[in-house]
Amino acid sequence: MRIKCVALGDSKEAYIEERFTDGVNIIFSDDNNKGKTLVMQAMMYAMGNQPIFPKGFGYRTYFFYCKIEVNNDEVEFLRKYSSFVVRRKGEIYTFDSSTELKYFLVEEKLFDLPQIVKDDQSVIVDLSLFYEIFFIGQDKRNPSNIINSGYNNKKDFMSMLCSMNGFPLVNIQELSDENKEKIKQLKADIADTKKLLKLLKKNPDVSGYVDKNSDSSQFTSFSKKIKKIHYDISELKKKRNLELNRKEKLEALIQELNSLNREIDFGKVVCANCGSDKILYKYKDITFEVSNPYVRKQVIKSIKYQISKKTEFVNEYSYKIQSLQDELKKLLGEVPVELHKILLHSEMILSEVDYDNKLSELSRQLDELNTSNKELNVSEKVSKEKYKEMKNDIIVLMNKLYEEVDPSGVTRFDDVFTKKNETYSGSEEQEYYYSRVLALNDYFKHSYPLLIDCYRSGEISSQKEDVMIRNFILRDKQVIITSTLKAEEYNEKKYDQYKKETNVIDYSNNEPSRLLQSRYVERFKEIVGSFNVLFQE
Amino acid sequence: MYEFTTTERNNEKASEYETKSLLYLFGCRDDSEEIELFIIDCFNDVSGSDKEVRKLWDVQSKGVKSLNPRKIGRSLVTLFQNYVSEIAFEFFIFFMPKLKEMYLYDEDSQCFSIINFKNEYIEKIKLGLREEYCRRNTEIPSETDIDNFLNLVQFVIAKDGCREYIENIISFRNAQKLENEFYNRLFEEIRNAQTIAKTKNVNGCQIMNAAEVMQFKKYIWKKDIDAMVINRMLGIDLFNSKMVPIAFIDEISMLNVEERKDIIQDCQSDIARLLFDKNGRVVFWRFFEKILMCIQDNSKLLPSEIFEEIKKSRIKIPRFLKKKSVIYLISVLKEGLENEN
Repeated sequence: MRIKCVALGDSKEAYIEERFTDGVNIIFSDDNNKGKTLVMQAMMYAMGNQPIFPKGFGYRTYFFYCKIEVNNDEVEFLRKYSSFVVRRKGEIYTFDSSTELKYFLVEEKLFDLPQIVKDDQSVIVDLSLFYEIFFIGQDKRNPSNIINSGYNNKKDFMSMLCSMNGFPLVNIQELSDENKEKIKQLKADIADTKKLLKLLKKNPDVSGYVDKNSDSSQFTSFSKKIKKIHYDISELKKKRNLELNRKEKLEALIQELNSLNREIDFGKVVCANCGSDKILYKYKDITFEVSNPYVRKQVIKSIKYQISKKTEFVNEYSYKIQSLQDELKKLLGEVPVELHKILLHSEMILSEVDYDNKLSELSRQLDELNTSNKELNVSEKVSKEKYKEMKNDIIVLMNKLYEEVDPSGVTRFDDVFTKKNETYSGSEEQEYYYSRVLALNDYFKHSYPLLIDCYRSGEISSQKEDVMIRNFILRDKQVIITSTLKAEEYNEKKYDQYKKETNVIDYSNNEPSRLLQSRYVERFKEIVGSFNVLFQE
Repeated sequence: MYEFTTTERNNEKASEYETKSLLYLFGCRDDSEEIELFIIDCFNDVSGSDKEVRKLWDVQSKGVKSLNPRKIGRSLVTLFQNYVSEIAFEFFIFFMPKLKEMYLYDEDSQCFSIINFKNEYIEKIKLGLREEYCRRNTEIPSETDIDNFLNLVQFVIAKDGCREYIENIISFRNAQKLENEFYNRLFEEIRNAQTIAKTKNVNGCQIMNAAEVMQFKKYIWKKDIDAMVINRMLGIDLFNSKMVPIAFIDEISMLNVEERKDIIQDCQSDIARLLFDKNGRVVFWRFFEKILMCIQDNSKLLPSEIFEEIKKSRIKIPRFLKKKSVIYLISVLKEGLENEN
């Protein structure tokens, strides 16, 4: 993936940056507040990242645009607050949240977002968590956790790395619990069977008694009646379950339909043709929406009607089951106690051979479950080992990178993240992020660019910085880094020495805190207009 | 050469009449079958045409109350200008509300020619037309042209509601009794499509022959409206119709009753998702049109065969639809369309 162009603005002011090359890009300036961070945040924000814009920048009212190249395709993102429009291969897609965008990116195989287990559920990682593999913003840095911590944390980040590594951390607990339950049940069955077997051996008469009695016509008629009721009850229960299942599916469907058709609350995109807030893209000959509000209302209405019908069916089945059970109770009450017992056991009292067979079958099942339990434990062990290996490899890489930059430094990384309360000084922190981003890149050999806002500031010596830049160049991929120079460094034209191998972009001439300018507005309007979206004045 | 000079902004009543006149062309004429394309706001408010834009039905609609002959004459000017232009129009239609009594011989006629006007009023019509023509062109029209033109004009009285017009264009059999709101919505949607076509400005553009008008993209295909109407009917019937399409029964005949119920509910749910997926618009209409085309072209094909055709054509199948749901959708459409024809 490569960044081609970044733009942001509204109908009055805008900025467009499209000087990026596929190699190392260094954006620098002689002072702060020249707009470097805005550009870096804007590109990621357009692609669904959680933003950390400088204070006082009212990003909610601006449009953000980013054009990337991925798998030889151009993909363009336009975002305003929580609304996204994406164009790819001439088709335009709209999304109301970064989650919707995430699923689109996965379904269309644009980004390879891994799955992790979170809160006992397998989920696709959030975009902002994923982006932290290759993007480090300037602010809110925290080496002891991920930058956008909140819903996600460093555990999720590591879990994501495991999935990327091909050995996801699975939730074995749940699976083995299920197994344990089954094993318990089987053991109980085995005990019951053994008991009956013992009973039979002790009282050879029991089977004879049953045989004798089962001949009587009274017994046959009872047994028939009861069998029939049992059968009816189980059939009704089956039907009830099916209807219940259908009803639940329909209820879930209504939820799903509502979410598919959600209106955009903030940052509405407006149709360029008529100013209507019904976004209606005119493609070749396509003039109409897939449905109209009246039709949608009717569909929901009829689904609700179906649900109420199913509820009625379920109630009806429940009632029938209840009355059959009452009937059964009454029948059993009328039977003499002895016959009653025989009746209940007659199905169970089989010949000894059958019990032996049953016993061996149960033991076989038990063995099987035990083996699968072991396998689960083994796979858990493997994932854990692989996790350790991977973490170790990454830490080794990080330390190696760090030593190159700072041979006399005393810091040693012993984890991908630091422990809570462990803080780094300004330059150490920059070295940490530099080492982490590069180590992850080298370990996974991923195809994403490396993006670090403020990758060094004054505290890091020119000598160290030279090692860093050389290393970036060696990676032979797109890198975008920003840096603020001290006055003397700037006057010395520090970055001129890299001009041959990198693309240096000087932001010094931008007016402080005035990145957005009216002269870009016309072109920015064209960009936004190309999505069939109008500015709301 | 033909130069576009119209483009007026309209009020609601006027645009309602324009939509009615489109629907009149669509389904109320004996020769409606021949019309495949509606050209919006180029030659006139609405002009019907065949596929190649060789034959043109030109309509001027006038939705104002209390039309008198002189006003009619004035309103006829665009039709007349088209008549004397270098482009040949087959029909000139003037679409208007019911007139006050006394102007006509046969008051009940819904469609008539100039001779239904009493003689004194024909003169008024001519007067109005002449005045308006002079005002616009600063030259006097030829009397022979006016006479020949007026003999060609078909005067059509618009119906009050929009329901009847919509009913005439529905080609899909359905099980439900449809409410007025349904018709109003459809009318609204067609009107919106017309408005969108209208907002593209062609004022001052020139063309050498009628077919060149296509470049301005100010048109609506009849088949698109048709597909839209069928789609809306489909939505209304979904989850409602008790009958499973006969063609689909073959697909599930091997299953037991309960399994069938589940499959049908699943298919209907998928179609509901399809109709709610605002992002799938482009894929949806290409896919939907392809199905309709396949059904119309080969009425003998089984739904599963049509499915194979669609797959072969490499038309993208919307993301929510499983194979079974596509076959169900085809079966429903096939049944709805067949019974009508």
